[in-house]
Amino acid sequence: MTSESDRSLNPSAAQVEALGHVPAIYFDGQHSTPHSVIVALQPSMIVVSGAGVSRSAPLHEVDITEGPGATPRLIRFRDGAFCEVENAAALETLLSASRITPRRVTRWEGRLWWVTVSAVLFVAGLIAGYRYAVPALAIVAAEQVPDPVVDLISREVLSALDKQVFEATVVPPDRQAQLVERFGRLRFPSVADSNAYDIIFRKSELLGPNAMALPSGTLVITDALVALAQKDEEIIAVLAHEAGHVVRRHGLRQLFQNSVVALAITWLVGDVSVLAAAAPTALLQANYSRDLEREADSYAVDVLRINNISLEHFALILERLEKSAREDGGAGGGALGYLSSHPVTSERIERVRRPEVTTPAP
Amino acid sequence: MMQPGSPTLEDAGVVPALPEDAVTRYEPFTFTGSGDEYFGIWIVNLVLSVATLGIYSAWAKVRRLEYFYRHTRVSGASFDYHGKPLAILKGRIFAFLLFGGYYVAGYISPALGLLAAAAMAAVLPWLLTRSLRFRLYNSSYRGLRFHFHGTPGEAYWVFLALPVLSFFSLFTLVPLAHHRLKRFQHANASYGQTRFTYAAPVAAFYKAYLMTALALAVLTVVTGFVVGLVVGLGVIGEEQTGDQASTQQMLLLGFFIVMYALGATVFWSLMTVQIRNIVWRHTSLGPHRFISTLEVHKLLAIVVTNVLGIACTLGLFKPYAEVRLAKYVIGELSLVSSGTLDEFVAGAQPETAALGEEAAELLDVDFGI
Repeated sequence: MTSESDRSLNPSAAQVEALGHVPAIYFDGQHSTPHSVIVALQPSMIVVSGAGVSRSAPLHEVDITEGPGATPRLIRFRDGAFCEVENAAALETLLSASRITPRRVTRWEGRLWWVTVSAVLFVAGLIAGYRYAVPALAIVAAEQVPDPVVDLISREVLSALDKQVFEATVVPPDRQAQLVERFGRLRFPSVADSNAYDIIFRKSELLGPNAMALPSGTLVITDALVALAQKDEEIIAVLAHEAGHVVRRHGLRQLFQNSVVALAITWLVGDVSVLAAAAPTALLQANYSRDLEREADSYAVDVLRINNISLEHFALILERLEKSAREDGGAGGGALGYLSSHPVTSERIERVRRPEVTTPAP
Repeated sequence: MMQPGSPTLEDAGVVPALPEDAVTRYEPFTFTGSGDEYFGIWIVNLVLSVATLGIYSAWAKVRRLEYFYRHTRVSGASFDYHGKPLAILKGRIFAFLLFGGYYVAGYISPALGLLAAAAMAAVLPWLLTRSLRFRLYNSSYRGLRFHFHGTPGEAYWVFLALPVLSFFSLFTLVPLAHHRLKRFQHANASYGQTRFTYAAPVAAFYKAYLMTALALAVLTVVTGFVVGLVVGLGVIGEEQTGDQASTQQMLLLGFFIVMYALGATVFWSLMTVQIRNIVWRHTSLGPHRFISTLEVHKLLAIVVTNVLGIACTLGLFKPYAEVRLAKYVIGELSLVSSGTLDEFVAGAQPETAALGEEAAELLDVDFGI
């Protein structure tokens, strides 16, 4: 590009010394007709001239685009007219001559080292976020949920389950009372933990031998589990595990963690293939779920030791559950559903039988 | 990065029945961006969005769309995006509150959730119309803005009534509903003062759905057979310890997840290819027409490698994936121009707020035009 101004092109340009000029294509914003023009830059004005085109504007009234990337550089006027500059390098020279420097963001985007550092931070952030930040935040968030909401949620979940998977129990009332009384005699690691648990019995073909905890402290135990256990201590061990879910607010934490994972995955993979995003979401959520199960196992171990109940009872009932799930052959909420959300049972039994692996009781 | 000269009919390879006309030319769309270049923009967007707790995401969105629009070229000129970050930020906050409220309501109580869902259904068509207006108004080519003329009334029919009807028709009306949705988008769009016209036959949509269903049925039968074989052999193996059984079940679970993801990808690719090709072949702008020549196996190869790439790099491959997809999908679109493209004139439409667009974004509704 020449730096001398071309006086013949535009008389007004002759008045002020131009810093230089570049060729461009001009569109007037009203018609799709392209015009070949010359853009001249003066200290505070921009002048566009060509066949049938002659306009100028103060520099602060035009928007000179910077990227992103190597996209064409546009000089946009306020009325929608614009020039597309083919030779970006020439425009760059022209702009730096008039001390217009690119914005910081534009410079960052083009810098390899900055980009690389960001990339590494991004991956580290993803892993740290998934492993530590989200679970930690979930604990804080779960604490914030007010009790009336927790109760409301629990009631709604139970009434939904009662409609869909549960039937009335056939465990005799005195047997129920016996188990409730036995559980009531338990001592807990912390006084705050021994809040009122509400133990209820339900029958379910679909769930088989199972137990679950609602965030409010309601522990549900299925008839099949009562039948499967050979000693009361085994049922107490399972209930202690479920109590661990309640004490550590697992229900709410899981809800929070799963929502974050679902959002993050949809954002990352969603527009590549919305449907394919469901698979990694399920895997990552299952991993969280296994963490919570381990935590509840540790809690159960603590409770059993404080109450001088042999951990072997817990190990035995886990073995029985595993065997029953396998015989069930993956029907309904059987083996596959069970395996995806629980750690491999042999590993759990191992942890229970070697309690030094778990957190020691206070 | 400049567009090469416009190729002639013969160069383009696919030649539909068109009258021999000296001024009819194939003008291919091209996407001139590159993965390396976009990576820098993407990562800076990401880091700044996180550092500002999401506030920057509105600016990031403008940056991203500017990148994709300005790198999309046809007939020697590029597109441009004019959305204002503050308008988008407002829309994002609104959408966040809307969907957050819906989610919370649904979790607290099913009854409240149902109520919230009804309220959402009532406002969504209106929001989606606004979304289309905002998106098109802020898109330009050769300095002329696009416009969207669809009314909320039509939107309620297309986004609410038809989907409900197709549900009650045991989904036999789904292809029709899809056709009407595309018609709503395309026939209501204009470039400056010139309206787009849309003339795709409904039968073509039924055929597309039928082909997809057949392909998926074949896929399901084949994988079902393989799974049956594997499981059968496993059972005959007998007498496993608990650990072996667990490992085997884990493997089976992994296999199902992979098959599900693959099935979903195949479904998405089949539908995208057929619908995009049909829609663009039957869309015209004044005397000019369009043609889209996507092929299933090519799109599938790109999408599968994209998903694998993203999974293996914990997401870092995403900008490359986006560029690869854009390069292919945009590159297979051509403008069949009849005469000059220099005579379009600007139309007038007031600026619209970004409320709807962001709401639609969170819902994952794709409005590619």
